[in-house]
Amino acid sequence: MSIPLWPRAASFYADRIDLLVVSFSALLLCLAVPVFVAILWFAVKYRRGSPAERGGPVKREAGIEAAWMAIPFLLSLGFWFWAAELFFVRSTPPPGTLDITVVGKQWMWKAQHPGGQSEIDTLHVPAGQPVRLRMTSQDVIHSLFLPELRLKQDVLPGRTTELWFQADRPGTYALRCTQFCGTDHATMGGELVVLPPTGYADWLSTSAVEPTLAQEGAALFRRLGCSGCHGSSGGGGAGGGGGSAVRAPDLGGIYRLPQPLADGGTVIADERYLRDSILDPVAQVVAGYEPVMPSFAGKLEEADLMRLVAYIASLKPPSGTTP
Amino acid sequence: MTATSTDPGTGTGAARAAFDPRPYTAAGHTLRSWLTTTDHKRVAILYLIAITGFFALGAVGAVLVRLELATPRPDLLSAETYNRAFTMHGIVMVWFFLIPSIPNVFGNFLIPLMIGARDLAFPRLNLLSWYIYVLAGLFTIVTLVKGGVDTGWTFYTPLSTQFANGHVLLAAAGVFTAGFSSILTGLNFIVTIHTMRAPGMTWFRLPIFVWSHYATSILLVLATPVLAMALILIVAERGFGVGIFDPRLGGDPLLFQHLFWFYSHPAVYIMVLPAMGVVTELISTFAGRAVFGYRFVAYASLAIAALGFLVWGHHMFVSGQSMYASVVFSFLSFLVAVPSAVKVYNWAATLYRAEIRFTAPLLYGLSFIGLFVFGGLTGLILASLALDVHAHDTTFVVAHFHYIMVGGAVTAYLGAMHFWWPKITGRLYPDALAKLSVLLLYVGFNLTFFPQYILGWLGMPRRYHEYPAEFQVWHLLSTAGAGLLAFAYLLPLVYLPWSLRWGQRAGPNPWGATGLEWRVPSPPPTHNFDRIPTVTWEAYTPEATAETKDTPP
Amino acid sequence: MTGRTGAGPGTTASPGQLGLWLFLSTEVMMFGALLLAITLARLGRSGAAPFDKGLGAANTAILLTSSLLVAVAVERSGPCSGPGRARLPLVGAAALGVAFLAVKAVEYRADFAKGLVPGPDLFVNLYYVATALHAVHLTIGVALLAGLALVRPQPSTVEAAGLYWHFVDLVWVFLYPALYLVPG
Repeated sequence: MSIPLWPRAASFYADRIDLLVVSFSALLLCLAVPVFVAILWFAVKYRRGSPAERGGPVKREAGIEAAWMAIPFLLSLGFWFWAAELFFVRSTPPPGTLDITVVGKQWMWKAQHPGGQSEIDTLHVPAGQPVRLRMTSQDVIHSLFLPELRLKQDVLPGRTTELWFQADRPGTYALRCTQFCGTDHATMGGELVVLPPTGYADWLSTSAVEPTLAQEGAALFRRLGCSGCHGSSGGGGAGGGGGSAVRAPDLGGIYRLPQPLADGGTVIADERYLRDSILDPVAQVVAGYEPVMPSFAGKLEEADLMRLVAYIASLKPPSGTTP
Repeated sequence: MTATSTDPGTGTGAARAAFDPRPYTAAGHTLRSWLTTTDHKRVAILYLIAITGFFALGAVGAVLVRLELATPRPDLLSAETYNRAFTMHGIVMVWFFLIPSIPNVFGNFLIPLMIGARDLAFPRLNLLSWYIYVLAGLFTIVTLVKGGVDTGWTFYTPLSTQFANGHVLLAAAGVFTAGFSSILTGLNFIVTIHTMRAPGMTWFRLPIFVWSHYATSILLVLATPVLAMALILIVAERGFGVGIFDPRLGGDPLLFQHLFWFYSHPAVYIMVLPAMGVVTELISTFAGRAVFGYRFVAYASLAIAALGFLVWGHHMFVSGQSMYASVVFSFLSFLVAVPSAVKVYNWAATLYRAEIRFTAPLLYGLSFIGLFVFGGLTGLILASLALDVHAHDTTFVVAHFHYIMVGGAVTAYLGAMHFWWPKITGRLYPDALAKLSVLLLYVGFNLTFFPQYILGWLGMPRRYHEYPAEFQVWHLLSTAGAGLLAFAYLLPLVYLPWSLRWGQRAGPNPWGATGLEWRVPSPPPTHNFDRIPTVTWEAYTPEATAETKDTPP
Repeated sequence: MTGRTGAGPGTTASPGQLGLWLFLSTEVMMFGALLLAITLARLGRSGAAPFDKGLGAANTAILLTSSLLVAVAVERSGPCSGPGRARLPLVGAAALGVAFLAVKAVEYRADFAKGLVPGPDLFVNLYYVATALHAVHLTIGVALLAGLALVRPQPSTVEAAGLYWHFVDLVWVFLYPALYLVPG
């Protein structure tokens, strides 16, 4: 059995992290080793009984102090910047990601692909393509850790966090939970399987399909009575007809587009806004409508919220209207 | 350099009651005389005994954890037991050993002696603080052993408020109560240092040990209440169902982390600042030289304390806090390295052109530097945003903070023990055995925790009781090192008590050191100074060991 | 805090005063943490604060008046005053403290009647935690003042209790706008 010394790197991003940590460690050693050498050298040279010259006044104390305060700090600042830049890369997904929904709960990970394929404690992704995980937790805080990608992100109840990556090298890698989440924390993990794009397509086509989040959301949308007021274009033609009963905006095609608000501002109808509007509808009302929608806070599970948002995001603009 | 002391028994101050020259240890031998004492030195001994007990209990948790981790499978402990073991280890070591360790034992014993006072400003409060600490500690221990708590010492919500099964409320109550002890101690030290310094003992004549304790006390007083608030809010949610942290109840799970780390990051400096104070005394004494850059070292303590309040967000880089907040917290965390580095560089410079005596206390001091520097540098790696994303919540972090808290604070605690033992007890211990225990400590510590850096970077999360088989080599090394380390901690527990009876008697100043505490007999008399000295010399100068100039009657 | 400061006993505030201020600083940090949480909850929430501004304002007036009485008591406990002259303002301040708690109880009842109970609104939940914690501090203050009114206290004791009372008052002065007034 070989002794592991360094984790495998499954992406170019991981290579960049490794380069950063090795470079920074080299600088830190350059700063620390002279101190250790000096201490050892002084310890030998100035030991009691040695013939060395001792004592004497201290000269230019302030200058010395300023030097060893400023120089190491300024040198390390370069690495602060470098690390912040990579953090920025990690935190800003490019457009056109493959979005996979991940739900953590004590003590398993559930992932659902855009086509409805879902899996537990395993995550299949295509190599060379940006993937965005949209994650939430059903109970406590978890953290999804993909060591070979040098990435992790906490997964919180009550909100959605994101993690994006591009795995460049096909293979099977680790997937672990790193935020202590109760009894079986240590077993809450599995595998990240990076497949070549064709392999991923094969895997998708052979995996069982559950209703997608958006499909489940559509059912929920009707069951909760949302469709009664939000005559949605996707909901079956309610948008065109009786304009008299319009109490709420049509939700078709609004996703990720700016919406005018009653107080004169605008808001991007992103996931966060949609989610907040379900839970606290009167906070940011779209211009031209009354704040009459009831709050659904406490009435919906986190997974239901994700389904509803996924459904709204999937809606197309109402046919026949032109912007 | 010659050792001098006030000659006892010649007190001529007519305004004062007769001075009792007997050592404080002779002021009463009954249990009652100890449990009702308000002498800062005796209270320090009470702390020493209690803290040693809590250290042993915390160590039991560590031993269980390390034994379980010797194999990849969960064989020794079940998941429940393992989680309770590391929670107990964390809670006991942080709140009942590390935070009170150096301040409450050595700060208590030495601050009045070092500043030329007869006691702390509030002696009865000092004893009260000990009782609160001991009762809170025993209560918490019972809670942790009977039933237990499995949240980790960090009590993260909503796990702790809604999902954990153990006695979270009782443990929180124990930690909350212990906080009063911290606050009272910090308050007592600040008031003492402000109002009880001997004539001529200006701020910049204070030993660095006192400066460090001043900075520590500020942290104790200002940070502990925020932990209290966080614990109150846990009780509100878990005990009364008022939603604060669980989103299902309208709460915000990250709010707890902000409050918790606002306390717990400064808490790290509560542990390490006194240690730095100790090491400064050790280096200066055994180099026979004044501390290089005294004012910079003194101000660095305050700078660390102040910056300590501004970096809590570096525990939350992957929690979902705003990216821009993280960038700022990362920068501020880099900034903390500056005053820490100032200390290390000045220690090294103090050795230049010195006359160095290799005693056991100095070796503890040098070990501290070696381990602390390594812990500090890996702290910079963790403060780097993108690197923390990978290393966060792995054993890399565990290794980092053990280098600071155990390699740093505990090593300095033992250094202080060996340095001031002759002053506290009037006895010398076998030097060779002490040196052997330093060597064991240094090797054992590195063997225990260096593999954890490697494991963490390989992707081994913390708080796992089972792990992939390929990690086992490093875990085995770590467990073996822990055995060595345990031996290094047990050895002084043998020869120090031994010395109480059979050790050579120590004079007032066996090391030729400069502080005021070395001018009184060993052990010091109950009221410390026959006459309060008037200080006319700068700290760490040769004059400091010369004849005391007494106040004219 | 300079090197030139004369050192030695009696060169700064008395130990008791310094200790008391340090104790109050711990309370500031504790309530400060709570106020920060309240502010965050307020920012994450829309709509005006749902609590009864009128009762809150009445309580603010009650506490400010009580602080005035405590100041009078401190003044009257000085060496130039006759014995027992501090008793009346102390009793008055303690009575106002009780009045505050009574108003608070009425307000809690009204809140409950309106359905403003701990529930899915973090701001409302923190309102209960903050006002309850403040009420605990106020109760301690009432006991202190009432106790001092019974005995013949040292001027420094009255001053210390007064400082504590002013602090509890001051906490309310921050809680009132944060909980009742800040618009959504």
